[in-house]
Amino acid sequence: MIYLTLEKRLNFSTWTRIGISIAAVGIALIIGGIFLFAVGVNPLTAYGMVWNQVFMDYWGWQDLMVKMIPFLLTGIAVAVAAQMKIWNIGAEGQLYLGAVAATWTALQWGDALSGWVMIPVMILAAMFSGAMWAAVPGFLRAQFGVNEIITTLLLNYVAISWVDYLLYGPWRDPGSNNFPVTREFSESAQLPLFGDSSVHLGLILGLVAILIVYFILEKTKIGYQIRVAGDNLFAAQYSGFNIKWLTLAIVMVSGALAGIAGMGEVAGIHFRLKQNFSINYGYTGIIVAWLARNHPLAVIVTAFFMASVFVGGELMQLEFRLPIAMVYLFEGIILFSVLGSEIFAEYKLKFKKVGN
Amino acid sequence: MQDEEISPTQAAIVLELQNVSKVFPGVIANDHVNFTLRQGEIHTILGENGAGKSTLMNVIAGLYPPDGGDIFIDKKKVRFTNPRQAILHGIGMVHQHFMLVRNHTVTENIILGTPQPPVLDLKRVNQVIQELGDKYGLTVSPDKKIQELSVGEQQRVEILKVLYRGAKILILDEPTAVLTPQESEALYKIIENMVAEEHSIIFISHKMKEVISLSDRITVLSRGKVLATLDKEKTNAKELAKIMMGDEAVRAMPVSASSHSKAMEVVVRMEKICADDDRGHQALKDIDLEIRSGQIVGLAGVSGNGQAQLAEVLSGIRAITAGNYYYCGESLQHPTVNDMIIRGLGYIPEDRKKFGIAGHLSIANNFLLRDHKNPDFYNQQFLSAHKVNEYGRVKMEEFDIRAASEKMQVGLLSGGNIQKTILARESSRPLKFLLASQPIRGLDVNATAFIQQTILKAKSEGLAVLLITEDLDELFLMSDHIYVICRGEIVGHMPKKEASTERIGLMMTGMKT
Repeated sequence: MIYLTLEKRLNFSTWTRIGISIAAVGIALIIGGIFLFAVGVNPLTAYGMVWNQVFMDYWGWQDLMVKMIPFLLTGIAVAVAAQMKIWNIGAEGQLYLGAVAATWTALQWGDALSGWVMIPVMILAAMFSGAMWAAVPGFLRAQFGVNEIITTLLLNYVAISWVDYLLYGPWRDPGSNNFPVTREFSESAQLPLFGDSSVHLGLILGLVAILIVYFILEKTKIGYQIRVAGDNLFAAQYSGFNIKWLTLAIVMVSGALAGIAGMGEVAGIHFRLKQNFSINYGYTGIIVAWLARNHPLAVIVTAFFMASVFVGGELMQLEFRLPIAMVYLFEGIILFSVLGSEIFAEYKLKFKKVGN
Repeated sequence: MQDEEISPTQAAIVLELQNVSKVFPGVIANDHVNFTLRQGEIHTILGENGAGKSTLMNVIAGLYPPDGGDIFIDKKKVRFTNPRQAILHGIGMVHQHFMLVRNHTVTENIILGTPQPPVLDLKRVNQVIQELGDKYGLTVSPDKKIQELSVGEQQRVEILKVLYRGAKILILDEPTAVLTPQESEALYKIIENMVAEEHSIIFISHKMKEVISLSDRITVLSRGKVLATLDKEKTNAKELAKIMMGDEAVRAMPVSASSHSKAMEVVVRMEKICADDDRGHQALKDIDLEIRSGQIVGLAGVSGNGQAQLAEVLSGIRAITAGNYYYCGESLQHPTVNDMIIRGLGYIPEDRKKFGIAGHLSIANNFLLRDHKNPDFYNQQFLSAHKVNEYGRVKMEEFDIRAASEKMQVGLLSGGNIQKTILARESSRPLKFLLASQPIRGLDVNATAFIQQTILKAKSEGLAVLLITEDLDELFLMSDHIYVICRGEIVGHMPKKEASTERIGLMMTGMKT
């Protein structure tokens, strides 16, 4: 008899993990290909087209970079909270709040202030409001142990409804023919772009934010405290760390990062607040963080990857008239196979012969 | 044979292992092990942590299939691929860590996984359990929930569980590691009852005393190999220790350092200290306690009588509800953990894996745990990985922590090495007071000796030491002065020379003397 058994890996290197992740993505593409085939699209043609028009094309790269910006920020937002095993499902809502705050400052002072003042003000306002929105579940969790997964998730709906209210009510642009959008931001409240591309300052903000988070985690006292508390709360307590404060702080930092993402979308792309400006960027941030296994630097890679899925998916949508559901389907398959591959990071398959 | 009575040395062999091997990636856990168990015999397996005892037992109990060799039960070759088959062949294992459902009753736990009619006849089952209990002295009320039982009672449920399944061969994996002396005595009695009923026992332990007094035969296991199988009559503790670890161990046995002769100042003084537990019930009542420099105060008591809360109060984790805590003459109102660390407290927590380490962080990073404000680990304001790792290497060398590298996850180390890591951290800052809670629980002889010597050295350097322990051997070996705690109260204290096992044992049950 030959058995197939799982055997614990003794030393799992980073490279093994990366290799397994890449294999998982490959498998996801194969499964996705089957679905494409099922709706009558030749998967090879589709993937080939995505390769040519996204990765081998200037405009493709530009799209990738633009899409990557919110993923960098929401991804690091989720990953930073996860350092303490806190699951921030509310990046979407915090992103909306960041956009609201940025919009408010833009509408309020955009005409009066220059860009040099306006943009830092917008960033700070977005960070502040994202942090405060996250502080509510953060406080409830720190003080009363309320499950943050539920509270952060529910606050998303509140945030989205609130934006709807603003757009249908006080902030609606009178000149918009009754469309629920604000008036366009003045030029000083629009993020600078790289050259003649549509890639905005958010890219730098995202990358810098990730580097800062990484540095703080690895090199500072509070970073060390977070790593210990994330691994073993009892050990943190025994060491005298202020766990309530750490919890609140990390949730607020997470909210602030997601807030910047919202600001980037309204001030870098749409130049106004409008409905559905976020295509589930906050939720996708959860996938980005998971794929990166919550490692800050890996978020850069996985954010790029998710951007490719989005841009590629959009392209297929246009080219083959596929529904947006196809993009979500791909996202789902990828997440599923990567999480499923987790077991191979710790165990390896082995054939065993047993018998007399 | 003229003698009618069959002594265990001649009784039929019920279990035999021939050249059994078990290989894990990178380790040979069992290397051609030969072992026999006779009917009505108590056969002890002695060995250090990591010698392969538990693996061997798991092979016998069907949890791991062996990679080589044969197992015979009643002379018939068997091959188990799962525990159920082992149970059907009459093998029952009582695990060191109980596998009970805490909010279910004793009966519900016992029948779990056994064939029962669709409509449970609990009355009948209760009766069977009662009968089994009476037969072996395993008294425990079937309707109680596990969480209401003491550790000793929970263990009885585990034993009942395997007896209920018809086990003839019982494997007891370090059964006394979690018991009080009185509970251990009761267990010995139960084991004798079981042997009298022709059960055969495989007993795992590294407490030499009970091994000698209980066993018929002793097999010494080291690095997966059988070093010797000896009859109890033909050996003694010293010989066993020597076989187990070579000459090194005999040298490493601790010697009780003589009391510090200098005038000793009071380092810690508690006056009528009260505190609550996590649920808000009073856990400590009017505790009076005094610890002087150069003195080891032993605190004896059955686990769960307030020792944990006392240690937390002393280390600043738990708030005081009444009373005074003086430290080096200074009255502390609401000391925090950091206050106590700064004042020179080293604290070895009772549950070392739960509180003492962050298991997924490296060994080196764990040295920072309670010292992460120490500027020695920083370049300017920023943590220096180089300095942290360098420090880790030095401490690993100094405290004989055995691991491939200081970057290894500390949670992967053995219990002894984890405890050495904690001790290295807690004794390396400038100390006045060392608080050690169950420092040697579950450790092998070598690690125990090392830990005890380090504590004795701390004492001779003039530290005040509070040793919280349930192990009376350790208590008498180490302490200068003994306090006994029961139900959150100090029931008495005395210098070691006035103490005796009986007296302390009685006081642990709450009797004031």
